[in-house]
Amino acid sequence: MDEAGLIRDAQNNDLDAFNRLVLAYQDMAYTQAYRVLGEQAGAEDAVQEAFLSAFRNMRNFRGGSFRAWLLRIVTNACYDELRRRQRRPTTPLEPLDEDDEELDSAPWMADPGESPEERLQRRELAVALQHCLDRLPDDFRLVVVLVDIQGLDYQEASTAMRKPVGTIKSRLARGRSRMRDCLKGAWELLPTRFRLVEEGIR
Amino acid sequence: MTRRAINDQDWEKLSAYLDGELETAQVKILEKQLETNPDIKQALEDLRHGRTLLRSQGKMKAPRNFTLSKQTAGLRQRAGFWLDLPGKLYPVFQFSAAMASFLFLLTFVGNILVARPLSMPSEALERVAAPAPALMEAASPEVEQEAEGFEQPAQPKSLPEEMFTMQEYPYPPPEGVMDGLGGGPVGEAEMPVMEEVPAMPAPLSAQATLEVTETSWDTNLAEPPLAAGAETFSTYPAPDLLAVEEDASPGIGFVSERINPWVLSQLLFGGVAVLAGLALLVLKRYR
Repeated sequence: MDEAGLIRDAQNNDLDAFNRLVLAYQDMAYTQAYRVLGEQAGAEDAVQEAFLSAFRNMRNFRGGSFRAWLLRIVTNACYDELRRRQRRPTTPLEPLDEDDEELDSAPWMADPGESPEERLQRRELAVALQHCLDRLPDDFRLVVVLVDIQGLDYQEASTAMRKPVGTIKSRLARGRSRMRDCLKGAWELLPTRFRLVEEGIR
Repeated sequence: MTRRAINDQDWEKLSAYLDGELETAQVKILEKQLETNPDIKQALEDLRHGRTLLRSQGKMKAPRNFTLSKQTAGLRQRAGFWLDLPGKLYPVFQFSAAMASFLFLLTFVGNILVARPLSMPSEALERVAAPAPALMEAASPEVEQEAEGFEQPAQPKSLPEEMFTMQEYPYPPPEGVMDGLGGGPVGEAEMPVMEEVPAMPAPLSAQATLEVTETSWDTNLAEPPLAAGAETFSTYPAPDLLAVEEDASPGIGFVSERINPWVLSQLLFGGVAVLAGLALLVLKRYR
């Protein structure tokens, strides 16, 4: 994919070029939104708003990391969603399984190649991690997701959050420290193989 | 072996060390601490483990495509324009309301300080201030010729009070002119009753007419008449006979002269301020 060419075309209102960028980055954008917001519907709304906003503001992209620029827009959309929730708190509806039982994670998270046991463990881990992420303050959670899940370096995270690198370092350290405390507290939620790994380290 | 509690700075250094973002000098210091302090070492391992767990999650697959259709992008843009319009217009109306209010106050104060009283036409004011001989000099030859056709009677020592009324209010004001007390139209009570005024006592010569006019003028200024039909004297200085011809024919000019530009400005700016304020109230709900 010629990213630079697609960006240039998208800046000239070429919607097809922009949609190819969307297809390339939508998983990343959705992961960011879901990890920050913790639920599917809000994450979908935030991602859709983010891509619309990105299309309208393509001319404002002045080069550099397109991924960091796009994640900044997604992050802003997440902040908007979080503010909206503070104004009008809602209880999200959990998806239901065949027996009308609430699912802790959406069915699309399942990997069809996994065994049922692996799938269960993966789901438990995802729930435990999301539980701990949700308990972080918004600013810490955003940095942890950007660096530890999206794999951005400090400079890219600084661009995405429009904060100095020093602030990113500090927030990341505090976020990781709180994640560690939370995971220790939710020890029984961790899948067996991760507990074994942890115990092996000790 | 050194054991001490791990503070925020330690966490920050450990986190940066984990990502390879710590400066070289600090790396050496930290590595020495890691060798001697098992708590620091354990904290580093905990951080590394947590990061590994998070990274193991990887990217999620988006539940649907987020590509934009032309219609979606176009419609959203148009909807955005109309939705944003109140927000964009709000500061414009705010500024307009503020400016109009300021100008309204300015014209209001200006009217009080500078403008002449409304109830008195400017020309009439000048006449009041002007000496009587000046008015005499301004007599038109037509009036003089008219007056010559009359025989001059014996000059009365003092003229009847009704005559002052007749001479000083010889014509009804043009229709629609606010000429009564308090700015209203002249009603029957305020209008001089023509029947009560005796007929012109004598054919006056031009000289006599002008003398009478002058006399009545001076009398009027010195001592306002007390007759019921002559109440308007206090607010409406009596025009002389010459002024009758001058004022009665160009009625429009007489009216336009009475519209004070200060008042017009006040009305204009006040209206704009009120309208802008109402618009702000509406826009505030939708912005």
